Formats: sequence, C-alpha cells, structure tokens
Amino acid sequence: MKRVTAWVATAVAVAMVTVACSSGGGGGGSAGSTSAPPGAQGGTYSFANGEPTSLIPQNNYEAYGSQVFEAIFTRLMTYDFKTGAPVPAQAESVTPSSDGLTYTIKIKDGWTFHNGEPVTAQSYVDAWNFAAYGPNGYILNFFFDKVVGYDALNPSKGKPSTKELSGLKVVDPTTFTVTLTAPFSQFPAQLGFDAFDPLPKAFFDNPDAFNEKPIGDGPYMMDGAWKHDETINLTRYPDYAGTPGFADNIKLPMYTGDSYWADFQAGNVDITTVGSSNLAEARTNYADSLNEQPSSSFFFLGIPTYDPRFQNKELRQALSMAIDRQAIMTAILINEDPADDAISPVIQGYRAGACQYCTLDAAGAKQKLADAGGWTGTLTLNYIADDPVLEQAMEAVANQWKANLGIDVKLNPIGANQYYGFSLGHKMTGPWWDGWVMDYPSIQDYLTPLYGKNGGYNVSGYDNPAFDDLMTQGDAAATMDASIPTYQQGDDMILEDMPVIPWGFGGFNSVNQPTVTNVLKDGPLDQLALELVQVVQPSS
Amino acid sequence: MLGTILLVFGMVFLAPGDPISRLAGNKPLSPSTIATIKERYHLDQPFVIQFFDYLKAISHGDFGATFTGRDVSDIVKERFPVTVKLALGAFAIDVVMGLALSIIAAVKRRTWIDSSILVYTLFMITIPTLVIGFVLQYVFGIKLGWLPVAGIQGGWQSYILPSLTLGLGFAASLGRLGRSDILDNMSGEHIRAAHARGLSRRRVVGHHVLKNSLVPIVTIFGLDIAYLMGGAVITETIFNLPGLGQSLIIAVRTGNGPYVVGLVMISTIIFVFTNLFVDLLCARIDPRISYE
Repeated sequence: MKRVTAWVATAVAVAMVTVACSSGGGGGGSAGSTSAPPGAQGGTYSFANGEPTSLIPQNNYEAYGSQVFEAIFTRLMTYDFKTGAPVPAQAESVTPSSDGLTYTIKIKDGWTFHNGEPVTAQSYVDAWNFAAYGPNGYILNFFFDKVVGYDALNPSKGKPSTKELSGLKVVDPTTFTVTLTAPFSQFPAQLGFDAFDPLPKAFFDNPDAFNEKPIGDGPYMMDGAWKHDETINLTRYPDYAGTPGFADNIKLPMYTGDSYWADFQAGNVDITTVGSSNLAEARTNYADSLNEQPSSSFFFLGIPTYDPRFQNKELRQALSMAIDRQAIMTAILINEDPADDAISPVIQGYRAGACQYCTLDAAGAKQKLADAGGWTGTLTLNYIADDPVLEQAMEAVANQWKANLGIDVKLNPIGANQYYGFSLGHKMTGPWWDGWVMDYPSIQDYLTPLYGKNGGYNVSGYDNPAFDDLMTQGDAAATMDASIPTYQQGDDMILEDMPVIPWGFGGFNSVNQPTVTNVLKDGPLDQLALELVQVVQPSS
Repeated sequence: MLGTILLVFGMVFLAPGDPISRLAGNKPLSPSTIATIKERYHLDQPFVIQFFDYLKAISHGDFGATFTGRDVSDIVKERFPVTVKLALGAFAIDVVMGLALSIIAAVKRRTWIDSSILVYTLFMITIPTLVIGFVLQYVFGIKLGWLPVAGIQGGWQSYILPSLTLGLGFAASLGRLGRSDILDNMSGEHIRAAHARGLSRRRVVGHHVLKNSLVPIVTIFGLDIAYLMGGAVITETIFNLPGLGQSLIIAVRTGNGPYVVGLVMISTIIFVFTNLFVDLLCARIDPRISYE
C-alpha cells in the first residue's frame, strides 16, 4: 500500500512505530458489536487527523482519507479484531465457485446511502467500473486488475472501447458476480478495502461535489462539507441499517506538523495518534490512556540482488545476523519491534521467530561471511535523508557491521523525492532502508508484491520461479485458511534466501483525554474504530 | 517578475522525483491512468511548452491545480485571509511595541531603561522565531491554558500567540533602528531651535522629532508588512494556521510544480504591491520624497 516512508519522510503526526504490548485490538468480537453499558451513547468527540487528498474512496491512497471512510462507509467485508480474517459486513455472503474463478456476492437488503438512495448490487458494479476505467485516472484503478475485462478498460494506447468490466454482472438488486482471470483465494480479504466501496447515483451526477461532501452508507455521515485544512465533521446517520456507533458527532480537525501534540496537551482535542517523536513523552505523561498496538508496517533493509556482489545468499544472511535490532529499537527507534518474520504480526499466518537469521549472532555472522567468500571494498548503506532518528539508527547498523563483520561501511542518505527512483528503478548501490504497509490483511499481500516476479514493489530484484509457483498455488486454494500453509512455505523461502533483511514491525499508538473511552485500533487496519469510541457521560 | 516565474518553475520542474508515483504511494498505475493524469496536468509536454502554457493560464487568472485536483486560486482564496489576519496582528505588535521601544529608549537614553531595552531587543532579535513560538505555545497554551495553541477554531484568539511570535522579533529590530533614527533627529538644529522657542518637551519629541523620524521607520514598516503578507512559514506550521506559508511547505513536499510557482508568484505580487503602497504613503508624509 502506501509507502511507510511517506509518513516518516514528512515526520508528521501520524507516523507510527511502537512496541506491541498486547496483541490485536482489545475489542473482542467483530467491529461494531461491542455491547455498551447504558449511557454510553451520544456526545461529541474529536480525533486529530490531517488533510486528505481526496474523499472519493477509489481515488485516495493515504491514511487521513481512509480514516474518514472508516466511519462513513460500510463495505462488503470487515476484519475480525482478533484474527484479522475477513467477515461479511454489508455483504450477506461472498461465495466462490468450485473453480475459484467466479464469486457470487449477495448484499444485505434494505441498506441506504446517506441521501436515501438504496444500496444495490448496481451501486457496487457501477463504482468498480468507474474506478477500473483507465481514462478516469483514479489511483486505485489497479486493484481491479484481476477482474476479467480489466485490460480492455486500460489499453496501453488509445481509448478503451467500453466502460464496463466484462467480469462484473448484476444478477438481481442484491446479487452480483465477479469473474477473475485466475483463482485468487485472497479476494474476500480485498473486499474490505476502500477501492471496493459502493457509490450512490449522486456520485456519477457530480463527482467533484461528491468529493467535497461524500455520501456513503456507513454509521456516520458528513455534517456539512469538507472544510479544507480545517476540519471534517461527521454526525450520526439516523437510518443506518447496521450496528450504530456510540457517539453522536465526530470532529476530525486537520493538523500538519507537530501542532497536534500541543493541542492534545492543551486539552483541545480528545484523541490523537502518537508519532515517534512524542512517544517517549506519551509513555511518561499519558501512560494510562496510551494504547500501543502493532501496525501493519513491515520495515526491511532491501538488498540489491541485481548487483553481482550481493548474489550470494550467505552474504545476505550474514548481514542480517550481524545486527542487534533490539538494542537499536530500545534506544533509537522506540516505536518499532524487531522483525522475526517477513509477515506483520497483525496478519493471519504470522509466526513468531520464523526468521532464523534475524537475531544477533556475531560469531555465526562472521562464519557465514567467510563461507560466502568474504566482502571486499566499501558497503554503502542507503536511507532517506533529513530524518535524524533514522540516521542514528542507520549509523548504528553501519557500526555493527563494521564491528561484527570487519567490513567497511559508508552511509548514503538520499533525498525522499529521488528515493523510489532508486529502489523501484533497481539502481541502489547497496542495502537500503525500506518499508511496506499492507493493502489488505493477507499474508499474500506481504509476499507477492515484494518478491513475485511481477510484484508491484519487487525492489530487490528477486526472481524465483519456485516462489512464484507457491504463490500461484496459494492463490488457487479453496479457502483463505487453506491457503495459509502454502503461503507460509513462500515466506520460509524468503526468510532463507533473504532478498530483504527483515528489520522491524511498526506500531500504531493512540492517547486520549479522560473525556472518552473505548478507543480501539480498527483490528488489523492502521486506523481507529471511530464508531466504537464512547464519550464519557456525566454520571447523573 | 517573469524572471522569478521562470526560475521557480525551472527549479521545481528539474527537482528529481516523480509526483505522480508519489501520489499513488509509489504503487503501480495502469498506463491509461498515468496517461490521463499526465494529460490533465500537461506533464507530458516539454519544459518550454509547459512554461508557456502556464504563462498563458495565469494571464487569465488561472494558476493551475494541485495534483489532487484543487484549483490553486481556490486554495489561495481560502488561505489568504488567514495569512492577512496573522500579518495584521503581527504588524500591530510591530508598530505599537516597536515605536514604544524606540521612543522610550531614545528619550531615556543612557539611563537604565535604555540599557534594559537594548539588552531586551538584542535578546529578541537573536532568538529564532521557532523558539519564541514553541515557548509561547507551551507556556500560555499548554501550561496556563489561556490561549488556543493550534488551528483557527478559536476565532480571533487563535491569532494572539502567533502574532506575538512574529511581532516580537520585528518590534525588537524596529526598536533599535528607530532608536538611533530618533536620536539622530533629536540632535538636529531645528530641534534645538524648537526647544529655544519654549515648546514643551512632549511637543518637541512627539511632533517635530517623530515626524522627521517617521520616513525611515515607515519604510521599515513597509518591508515588514510586505514580508508578513507573503506568509510566515514557521509560525503557521507551529500553530497549525492554514495560511499561505503552510501551503508552501505542502506544495514543495508534494513536488507540485504549478502549486509552488503559483504561491511564489502570488507572494511576490503581494510583496511588490505592499511596497508600492508604502512608498506612496511615505511620499505623503514627507513631500520631499515625491520630488526625487
């Protein structure tokens, strides 16, 4: 999904990284079904957010917009708080055919958009067609590339001859089918992502107006239009067909820079996430409300396997074994936990300790390096410039390599604007710091995009047909549960071949004033469950 | 002006990094989608064509759009009032405090009052705006809770701390310059003549000295207000004020060429016009100037 570095590079509020204390979100059960003690309904609270790039779900790929959509849309699937597995939300059922190619999606009847229009199968199909249509220029267009007919809507030259994906068919007002080009067992997990939101007819009449005041089908609706750079205010949607939220009104004021923290300390905003620069202070001063959870971010040191010097896997393993991740994270990157798998802990299929080369073993590392034939010359460690905390951490890594492996290491900060040109363009001259945030909670989303031959983020240049085969096998599994052991084999392959060195898992932390309770992370997603927050009512 | 536009446009254009991929979180976009976005923002054209397209557009008042589709002119219309309010607030402090410091220091020269003012102004000039801002925010906003610390939700009160942050520094500079200016004037022959004629000290200073001192002081005021109108980047960021300064940071950070150029252009225009206005004002105060 969105590059973690976008957050880090801007050093802005919502950058997250912390040590996980408890596992999963504390809410138990699936989102929205926590039963409340009487009196917990009602009230208004505020949550520090930032200015979104767009309020059209299919055209937004950042956290501030997603947080708004979390409250104003209910999509086909949501994710279980404890396991991260997809569960039907607005959908009644999502059933694959026996060959795994066609999904029959039945939606719940009687749901309405905030403007009173009914939510129908057509609402989904029309929205997905619009996003998949190349000339609309929507950012989440590529999410539909597995649906039959996608290529016709995205020709490399000229205009498409049709505006509809041939793989989408409306059967009746509450049923539609989706036909994929190949079986994809993780498809139900994708359906909980913003790209697959339904849209009312009002959107198609005027997308620009919709962007200023989106109309969703969720428990909250827009209270007035988007006040750019100031706030987005939400209010309860009275005709919501699902479990209503607790609070009546939610304010989402926008902050840039560190001012969100000043406002929180002054008591002017009820809830905020905590960036790594304020985490230490939060742990001391706001310990009772601080909620530290693992986020979906997976940090790693990429290795340029396209560079002949790095093509020996024992060299890569040696580099991984020579680092003391825990020490660096205790002292410097306090919002991270050492990575012991290439999969985030919030994902089904994560195994603690799966990576056997991810703990410090200086003697072992030296031995591996010798077995690999040693290293001559200078090793260049690359990272994003203008981030003093990251720089300290990278200096520590360089020192550890020097001390534990006896090699010469040079640090090379690269400007954020050029960074992805180097990594995606396979031009890195040595290991580099990088990160991945998931698009949807699935073990597959941490594997195929990063290490698959045509993976959208294959920055290391890893090319292994055996791995691609495992991915295809996993994709063809009958159910998501059945697919996990196969994908885990792929994970094992990566942990052995080490095209990237697993570095850390990030954290998602929130603090709140005593004016609210039940502030929970939205399951595996890196956002708050706004509908679950309860405003503390004065006891009468 | 044209040179400025060319320079800024060129710098942003040449700055490395692809804004489209950043917008997409560095994820793959279909060729169709990329083609659409490029066409929409003229990113597929060579530099010269993009530049002339831009010139043509701004002559119609169309300053282009950000890469998320908002018109730069709309954004400026929204943000400019915030910057103006901050500028006026800071300017008020600049004028009132600056003049007060200058006059008191000059009149009470070589007393302990004068010395303390000199020390104070030196202190305030040296401390960076950043530090003043954070300290004020912490003391008055967080610890004492008297004033809002972020955003503009608190109405006119939201502008008090930011205005002080900016204004105190300006006032300190002005205080020192004004003081030497006034002292120079106080020793002029016409002043001794006025004293000799028996005019009260207050009238001498308030009327004769001050009037002559005003020209350089007003010139400085002019520069100050012109600078303030362009948007104070640091102060707006600390206090989360959605003004032009904050938008410049956002524009640069997202690598949005037309946005950056639009903002710089507008700031330049404001600066030039404000300066012009001040020059005219100076001419009214001191008729000698209009004959030069």
